[in-house]
Order: sequence, then structure tokens, then C-alpha cells
Amino acid sequence: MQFDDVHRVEKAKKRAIVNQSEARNRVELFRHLPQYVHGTQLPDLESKFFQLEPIHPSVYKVGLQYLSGEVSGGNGRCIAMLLAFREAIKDYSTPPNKTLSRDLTAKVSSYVSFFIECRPLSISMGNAIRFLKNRIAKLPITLSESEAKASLQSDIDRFINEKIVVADQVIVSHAITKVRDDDVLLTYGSSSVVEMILEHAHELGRKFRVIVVDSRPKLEGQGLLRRLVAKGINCTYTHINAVSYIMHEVTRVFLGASSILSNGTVYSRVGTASVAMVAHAFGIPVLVCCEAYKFHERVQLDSICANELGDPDVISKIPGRADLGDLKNWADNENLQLLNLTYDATPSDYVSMIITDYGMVRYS
Amino acid sequence: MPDMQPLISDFVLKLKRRKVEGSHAVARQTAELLRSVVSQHRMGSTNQAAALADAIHAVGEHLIAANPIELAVGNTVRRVLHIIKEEDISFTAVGIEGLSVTAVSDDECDSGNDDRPTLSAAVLASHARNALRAPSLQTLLDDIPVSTALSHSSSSAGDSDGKTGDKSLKTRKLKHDVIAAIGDLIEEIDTCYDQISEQAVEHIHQNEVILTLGRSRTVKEFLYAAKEKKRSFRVFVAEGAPRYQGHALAKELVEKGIQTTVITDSAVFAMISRVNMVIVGVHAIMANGGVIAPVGMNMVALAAQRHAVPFVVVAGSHKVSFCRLCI
Repeated sequence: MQFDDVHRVEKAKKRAIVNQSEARNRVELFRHLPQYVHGTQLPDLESKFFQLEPIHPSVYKVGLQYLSGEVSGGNGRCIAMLLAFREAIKDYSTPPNKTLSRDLTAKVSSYVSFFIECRPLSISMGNAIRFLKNRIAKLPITLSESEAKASLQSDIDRFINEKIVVADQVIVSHAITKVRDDDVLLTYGSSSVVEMILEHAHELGRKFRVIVVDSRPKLEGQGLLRRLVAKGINCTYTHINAVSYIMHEVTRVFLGASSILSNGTVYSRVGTASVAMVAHAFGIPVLVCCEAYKFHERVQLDSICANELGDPDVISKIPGRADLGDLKNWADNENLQLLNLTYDATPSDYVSMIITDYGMVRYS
Repeated sequence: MPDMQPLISDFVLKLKRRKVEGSHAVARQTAELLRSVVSQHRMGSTNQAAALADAIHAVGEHLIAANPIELAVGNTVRRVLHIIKEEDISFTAVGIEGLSVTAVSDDECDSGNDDRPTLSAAVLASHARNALRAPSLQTLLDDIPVSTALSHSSSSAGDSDGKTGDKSLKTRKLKHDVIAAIGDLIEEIDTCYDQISEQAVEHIHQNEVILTLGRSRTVKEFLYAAKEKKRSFRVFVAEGAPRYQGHALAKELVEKGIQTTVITDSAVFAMISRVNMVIVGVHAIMANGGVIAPVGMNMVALAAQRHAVPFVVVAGSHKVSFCRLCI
């Protein structure tokens, strides 16, 4: 949706379930993207839980989890969404005088708009929704309602199993060949696939150590660090600014991705491009691990045309540093804006190889 | 110089305990201390400049050892030593010129004294400079031994009547010149911000987008000056973790009415494609052109190089260091 078009925004607001407060101090460059202040919507939505007929409770629950940030990561969000749809389909019954495929498609679309209001869709979720709508459209008309529902549910299960679970295992088995003894592996943020690779390599008895690079405001690396250290892997933790300082020790860089676009650009957590750039400057191979269902045919030249804006308040507050209150009342000043980007686009020449469930692809 | 010891130890302690922070303050206080050292120094009769340089060198070593990271200390000490050398050379050149003038006048009345070669002041000055430098091919090939020439001049100075009073005059003059030059150095350190800010208008055009990391006073003054001259520009300030000084800079810029956006350090690569210029302040500038800057600057520089964005470093001359591979 074009968020810089005032009329469309007004129309969307009237239909909206989630209260969209006016964003203050918008960055001009990103006026075309939705900017919400997420913090105020969660209690509002929680209070409406028992009043919303058209939204299935499991869909509602997943929407709340997205809003609060409990469920994050491309795979996690996609699986949560598909399981919610599975529940919704199970409880679905066709209204009279309506065909199942059309009505169900409309219902799924309404659920998707609800999800978008909670948090903009990730590319993995978009691909999964397209798959589901495709399956619904392809249902033979001769099928009874229960058979159709069962078929759809098994389709969803198959998608999750084949495209995500088994795909991850295949990626791990490919990537394991790239982890040797005495390797120093660097990873950025928290990627589920990279975590699996590191844990599997440790189980196989390879001797390596890991450097976890993290950045504000999400600090996702801390969760990964905890889990790796609990498994007994030797870890170093640092901030993204220090990446050029420690890069000389690193032998390989493993990165996760939210999506890979058709011109080879890797669309991933903000900061990935910087890490890949520094690794490239030091001549260190960068391996990106991504399941094939996340690939997308669009082309993106930079990180500004399409992105997700996070909560700007998080930038002004630094946990644990109460003395740094310079930006406390940032919204009062019209000259000051805070920008919290979620994704960025890494150019293809920084990447040495992508590892997918279809194999390993080298970038020329 | 026993009376200087407490002052020197006081300053060394301040440096060790990091009570003095920032290269500007450090450079200024170092220069002032060295000026006091020079003024308190007792000048000997011969080889005054070398003795003075040794004294400064000894003090300088203590200061540098107190805080090796703060390169401004070493830079200031070396500049003072350079000042002493320069003043000595020009002083000697003037002195010899004066002597050769008197020698000529002597010749007029006493034509027997032509065994002394009359050397031009400029030639002697260049030879003196070469003597103070490390021996090079050029100095080795020079056939006029400088020390003998100088000793001839000084002995002739001793021979002439009415020249005994000049020695103390020369002593005081050298000291005076050195102190004046150090005063100039201090003024240069003080006014570096103004001199750099004057050039702001030449580099910032209308509708410019500028990126900076962390907080630098030089950059702040630079941008203020451009704003004064009514240039319209906007600034992206990267936080600069872990000190987060970008927040303070953003607040200061906004108070002057400059459009500012604060971004996280991880978003630098994402935003730099829309940036016209990167302007940063640094801790020190190395002799081979490299810089020592707050952590994260290497990332910004690589990103700027990738996107062909000019990377501008603004720094006062007290930050220019003589090391190549320090630290």
C-alpha cells in the first residue's frame, strides 16, 4: 500500500482493527513506508479479545505475539502464521450460498490484513500466503467441505515440513562441510539456521569458536549467545562497531537471510551488509544460509525502497545507561527524527556463497 | 629547573589519571607547560639551542609516557622542538649575517684579515639545518665543515671588542623568540575550530545530506558555521556505540535548527546510498595519511568508498602526528 498517499491511508484507517496512532517526526525518506508506534496498540488490542467475531482466536493470538515481539525471525513467524491458519481452517464452515474456495480466500485475506496491521509481513510469510491461496484456488469443486479442509491442512503440514524443517536439515548437512577444525566463525544477530549449523558442528566434535556480533536496538545476538554457551561452544560477543577490529581473526562468516532477491541481493537484518562488507574487505568468505521458500523474484537496489520501520522510541532509550538521556523528549522537537530500520540489502558482490536446500550456489 | 618539577609532575599525574581529556585541552596545556619550562630554563653560554632542546625532550618523554594513547602530547612536544630548531637556525643566520657585515667593516680598516672566509648567511643557515638533521648524502658531500665555520664565527665574535655584552643579549633573544613562537602555537591550537569552520561554506551546498558518527566538536562547529551562512542541509548522526555520543551531538545540532536524524550504527550501510558527504572528526592523523578514530569509523569509511561518497576528516593541526604505525 502506498503510505504516502493520504486518501488511501485514511481509507485503510477506517477499516482498521488495530488502532493506528499518528506517527510523529517522520523521516522524509521513508514516508512511503508504514510507520507505527507499536507500544500503544498492544493493550488496546488485548482488551478487544472477546469482541472480535471475524478474527479467529488463534490468528488473534499470533497477531498479538507479532506486536509484542515474542515471535520473531522469518521461519518462526511463518510457522506461527501457518499453524494459526491451520486452526482457522479446521474450525471453518462454509456459509450458505457461498463457494468454499472464494469465501475461504476472502477470509484468509482478512486475516492477512490483520497480521499486516500488527507487523508488516516478512517475505517468507508472503510466499507462504501465496502458496496457501494457490492451494485453495486449485481445490477440485467435487470435494466435500471436510475433505477440502483436510486436504488444506495436510498441505500446510507438508509445506512446513518440506520447506522449513527438512530444508533446514539439508542446509545444515551442506554447511557442515564448510566448518573445519580450528575455524573461527563469525555470525551476526540471531539466525535459526546458523544456530543449527553451529550446534550440529559442535555435536560432531569439530573444534571451532564463534564470534557473535550484535547491534542495537534489538540485541538479538544475546539470545543466540546464551544458547550457544549453554551447549558448550566457545563464544566471543561484540558490537558491530568492532567488526573491523576482530575480523582479522575470523576464517569464515555465516549469515542468515530474510530473503534472497533475484539479482542476488541478500535482504537481511540491518547491519548484515556492513558485516559482509568488512569481511569482503579482509578477504574472508561470506556464506549466507537461506531456505529456498524465502527467495523472491523482485529486485531491490538499496535498503530504502522497501524496508520495515521499527519503534523509534527504542533508539532514544539505552537499557542500563540511565545517564544518557539526551534524547528523552525527542518527539517535542520537529527537527529531530529517530530512525529504526529493520532490514537492509547486501549487494551480491559481498557474498561468496549461498547455501540452500537445493544445494550450494557460488556467486561469480 | 627544580622549580618546574612540581608543575611537571602535576601535569603528568593529570594525564595519567585522565583528568585532562580531549586532544584540544591536552595540546593546549602541554604547550603552556613547555612555554613555562622554556622561560624557566637557564641558558648556558654555548650550544644554547641544543641544551634547551634536550631539556624539552626530557620533559616531553615524561609527558608522553604518562598517556601514550593521547598523541596530541607527543605532537605538541615535537612541534616545540621544531620551533626551537627553527628559531636557532634563523637566529644563527641573522647572527652570522651581522658578523659578516662587521667583518667587512673590519676588512676596510684591517686588510690583513682575509684568511677568514666570508660566507653568506643563507649558505650557513642551510648548512646549520643540515647539521641538525641526520647525516645524509647531501650533508656528507658538503665540503664546508659547519662546526668549524660556526666556531670561527663565535671565536671571531669573542675576539671583537664590545661583543661580550651581546652574548647575554643573544641568549635572551633566543628564549624570547621561542616563547613567542610557542605562544603562536597556543593561539593556533585555540583558533583551530574557527579556522576550520570558515571553510564550511565552500564544502556544503544546498540540500546536502551529511553523515557523521559519534560526536566531534570540530564537526559541530563546522556544521554550525554552514547553518549560519543559511545553507540548507540535513544530518544523519550514527549513535557511536558504546559511548552513544551521537545522541548528544544530535541534541546540539537540533538546538540550532539543523534537521537531524539519529540512526543506529548498523544502519550506516543502508543509509549511505542517500548521503552526499561523510564528515567526521578523529582522534589523530598519522603521517601516512591514516587516521585514528572512534570505533566503527572503518565501517563507515568502507561504506563511503563503496558508494563513492566523499569522506571528509576535519581536525586541528595539533592532531597531526609523526607516527606511521603507532598503536
